[in-house]
Amino acid sequence: MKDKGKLLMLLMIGSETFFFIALIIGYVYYRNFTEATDTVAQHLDAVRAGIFTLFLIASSGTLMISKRALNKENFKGFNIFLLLSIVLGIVFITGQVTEYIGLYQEQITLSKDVFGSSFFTLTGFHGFHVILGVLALLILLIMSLGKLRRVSIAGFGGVEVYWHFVDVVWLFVFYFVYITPLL
Amino acid sequence: MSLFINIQEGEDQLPEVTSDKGRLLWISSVDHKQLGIMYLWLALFFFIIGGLEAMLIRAQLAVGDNDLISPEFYNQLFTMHGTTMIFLVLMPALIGLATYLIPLMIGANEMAFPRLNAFSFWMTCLGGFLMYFSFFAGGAPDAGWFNYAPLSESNYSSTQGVDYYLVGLILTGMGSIGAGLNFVTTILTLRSPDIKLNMLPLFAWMIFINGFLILAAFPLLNAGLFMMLIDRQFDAHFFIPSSGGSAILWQHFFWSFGHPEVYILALPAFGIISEVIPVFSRNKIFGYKFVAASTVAIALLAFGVWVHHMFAVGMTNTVNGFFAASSMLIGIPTGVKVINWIGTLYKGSIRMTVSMMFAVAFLIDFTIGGLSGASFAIVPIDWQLTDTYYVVAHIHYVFLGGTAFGIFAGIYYWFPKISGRFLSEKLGKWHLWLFVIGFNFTFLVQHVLGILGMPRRIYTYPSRFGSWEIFNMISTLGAVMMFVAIAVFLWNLFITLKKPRTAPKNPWEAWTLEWATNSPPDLKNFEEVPRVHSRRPLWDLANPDNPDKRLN
Amino acid sequence: MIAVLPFYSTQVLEYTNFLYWSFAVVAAIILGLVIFFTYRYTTKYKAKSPTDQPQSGSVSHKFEVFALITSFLITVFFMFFTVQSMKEIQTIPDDPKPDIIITGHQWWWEAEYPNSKVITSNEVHIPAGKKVLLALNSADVIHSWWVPELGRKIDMIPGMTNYMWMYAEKPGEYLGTCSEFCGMQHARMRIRVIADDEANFKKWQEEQLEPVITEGSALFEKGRNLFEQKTCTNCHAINGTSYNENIGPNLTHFASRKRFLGDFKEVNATNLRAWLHNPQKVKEGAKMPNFILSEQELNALVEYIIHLK
Repeated sequence: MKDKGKLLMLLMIGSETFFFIALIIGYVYYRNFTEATDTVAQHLDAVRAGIFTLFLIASSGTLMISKRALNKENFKGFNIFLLLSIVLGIVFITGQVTEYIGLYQEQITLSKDVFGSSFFTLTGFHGFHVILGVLALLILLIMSLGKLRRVSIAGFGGVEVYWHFVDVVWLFVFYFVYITPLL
Repeated sequence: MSLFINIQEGEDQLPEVTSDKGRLLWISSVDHKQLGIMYLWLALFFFIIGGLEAMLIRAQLAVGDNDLISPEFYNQLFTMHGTTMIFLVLMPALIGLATYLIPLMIGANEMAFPRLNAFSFWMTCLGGFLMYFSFFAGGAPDAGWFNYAPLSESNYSSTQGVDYYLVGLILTGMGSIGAGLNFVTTILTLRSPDIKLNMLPLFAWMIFINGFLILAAFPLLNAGLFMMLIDRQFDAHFFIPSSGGSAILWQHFFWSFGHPEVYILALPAFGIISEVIPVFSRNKIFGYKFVAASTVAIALLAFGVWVHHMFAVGMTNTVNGFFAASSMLIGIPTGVKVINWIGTLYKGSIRMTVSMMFAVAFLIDFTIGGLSGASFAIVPIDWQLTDTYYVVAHIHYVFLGGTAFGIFAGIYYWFPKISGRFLSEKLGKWHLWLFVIGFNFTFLVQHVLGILGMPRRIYTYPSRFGSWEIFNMISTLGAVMMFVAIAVFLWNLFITLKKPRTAPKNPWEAWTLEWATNSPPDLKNFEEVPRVHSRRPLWDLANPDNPDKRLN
Repeated sequence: MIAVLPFYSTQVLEYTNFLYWSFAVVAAIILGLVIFFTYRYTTKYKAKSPTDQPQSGSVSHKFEVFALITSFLITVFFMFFTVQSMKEIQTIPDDPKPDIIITGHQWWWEAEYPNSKVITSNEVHIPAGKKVLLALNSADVIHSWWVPELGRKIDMIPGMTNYMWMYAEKPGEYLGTCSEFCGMQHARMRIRVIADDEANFKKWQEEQLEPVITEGSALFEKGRNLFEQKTCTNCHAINGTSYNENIGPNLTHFASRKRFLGDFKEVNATNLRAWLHNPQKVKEGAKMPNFILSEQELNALVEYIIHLK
């Protein structure tokens, strides 16, 4: 493979996968392999989180559209859909922040018990990755509003892979944190 | 047909190095050779510190009921000794050699991501010094390099030491991941167009595989470290059993990283040995394919053996049996390598340089370490000997008799290339013999101590146990010999670096591409790269009438 | 007696012994071969002059395959006996009824005998010639129970109970040690197991069940009062009184033991006095606070505790 930027990003998300696997294993371990019952699950609103999940998935879709526009050298379309992806990402983060506030008001906190610890650590690290992704997309947008140079096209390949990765991780988090307690 | 090709370099190959003069340039450098050298200096610096810690430990244990060192300080010492030697000595030394040599070996002028390379180095450096800052901030970490919960949680370790350990290791871990990313991308994208993957020098091959190991293993450690940091700083409960957490989970995270880490430290040393032995035996490596393939086997199996560090925690016989089987199996590819190295000696024409002698010492001492390691796969033996001095002996035979001997072999071998000067062979032999004999004195008897029932990580033992005292005293005397050996080595380094540069391009008549450059290489490694048609390009160049079998 | 026997001589550990020896033999052969060939080749094929070129080595695939198959067969051999002996050593009934429950504390051992309700610390008595089922757990950090001559080693993990068999063929004293790093005084957390014959074990249990001694000299009485006033009772239980806190060792029959502080010091008035005078000087890091006792108070307390037979 000669696109070393994309290769680097693929290897890095491969590495990151192990990080998230470890965090998810932690969560599942406490729920299924200890005697404790999940105290966080009953306070979670899976429907609400599901809606925000759709926003995140949509942002991946819009990013793909913007990539297609870029390949056709349609810079206006590229900018619009890139901006849309950023907005959708921010909507997702807003959803997460308001969810945190709600949980803290219900006394579900990081230091309450292992499930509080696991929930906020897992979703927090994911949220942190979303924020990084939004920043990266913003940088691309700013660069493209100026003059899209070769470097940023190469950069786009990497950021795009990363953004889809963050999206996929969330699907797993959503499944294990929100869906499995309902099953 | 031309014997050389020009390197095609794109215009966006950022950033550029323009000069190698000036001291500040080292700090801002992104040149892989300068970074490699800085890694090696960093490793040497911490090697001295870690060694002094070891000397204090041996002084305290020389006799029973000794009160030279307080238990509190002793626990900090052995924690820092282990952490230092693994994360701040062996890792940077191996990564440093690889950073220096990989582009040279594959005919490239830089790593794929020079700035990431600098980032990796400075993260490692920062993490190391941060960890040592803990000594001035109320106490070093004191829960062992394995940092078992809940002893490492704030209820039982109330100083800030463990926090420094966690943050320091997260930083060095990120640095290692950066280096791993760089090695893999460099080897995949920057090879001279002639070089196919099955033509890589074995050192480069093992670093390539090692890159994947790093990428998969360190995130597991980092996840655990972050969770514990959150426990300690934000009152979470991950590893605190009294509030619902799990002490065992930390062990799983730690060892699912920790065992691959053993191979992360071993594989590059295997790579060095696989370069040194053929060159000084004047022989092709015996069974290149077996050595290369066994590396992949080791890397895959490495992730399925970690529970053998936890046979005593009380898991079911089924779980223990599974991991016993995988741990026994991983011994096979490792054994294959030893056989191939010995096979390389067969019908050679062996030149006994210091580098080669270290490689031979490696063969024997690493075999001892490998065998004692295999004994832990036999669960009932592990149930007796885990957490005793037998393990201490084992880990040192692997890391010191294995990895460190490999690194020394590599240093003596590549020193002319890196610095343009030869280390004194005479002083080198003093270094070698003192070190190897001292090493075996120190650690061979520790096997016996373990079998006699001496647990590890104790700051003292009852002096009424006479046999323990005798063996511990022998062990301490051996450590003194190693101390002297290292002094000789440092003196050798010191006087050599003051000599003028006399080394020719290829003093050992070696065959890999790094020896086609000047000694030391120019800032731009290659103006032209020799054509490569086999695993020994320089052999082909020197013997045009008798080249190796063409592989491309 | 120093129980530092390298070779485990009891019935339970027969398998371990067998594995030990067969592994030692195999390892010695492999190491011998490696040393022999390394030495032979490096001497035989040593370059005569610096420009000497080799006689040409070669790769033998047959040999590699032979080595692979041999090592695989060795693996199968050891795997078979590993699984066999694991079953032999560690088969615990589904509904375990432990004979002794041992709890690890920083840095001492608590032993409870559920059948007879005896509670003691540091010195564990077992009947000889009988397999004893231990239940092990921890009150704080991870400890590990290891008496080499009497059985396997197993970790004591907070929030988790482990079981293992212990077996002493003959009466005697057996030494062991905590084998998982557990903090500052890990080194001084040693174990003494005393295997008694049937009659002595019964006698010992009966003695342990006797109520605490309440009568004694005036100094003894003073010591007993001090024991309450100085809040010793907040941590130490004395059976037959209302003091049953279990933070420190149970002291009901303290003086019936030979050694204290995790098998560190002999039980006698001098050692006890030094300990009460300044615990941190005797065993740094121990959880016992310094009560800054006066000379008279020390005398009285020592007099009281040393008579708790």
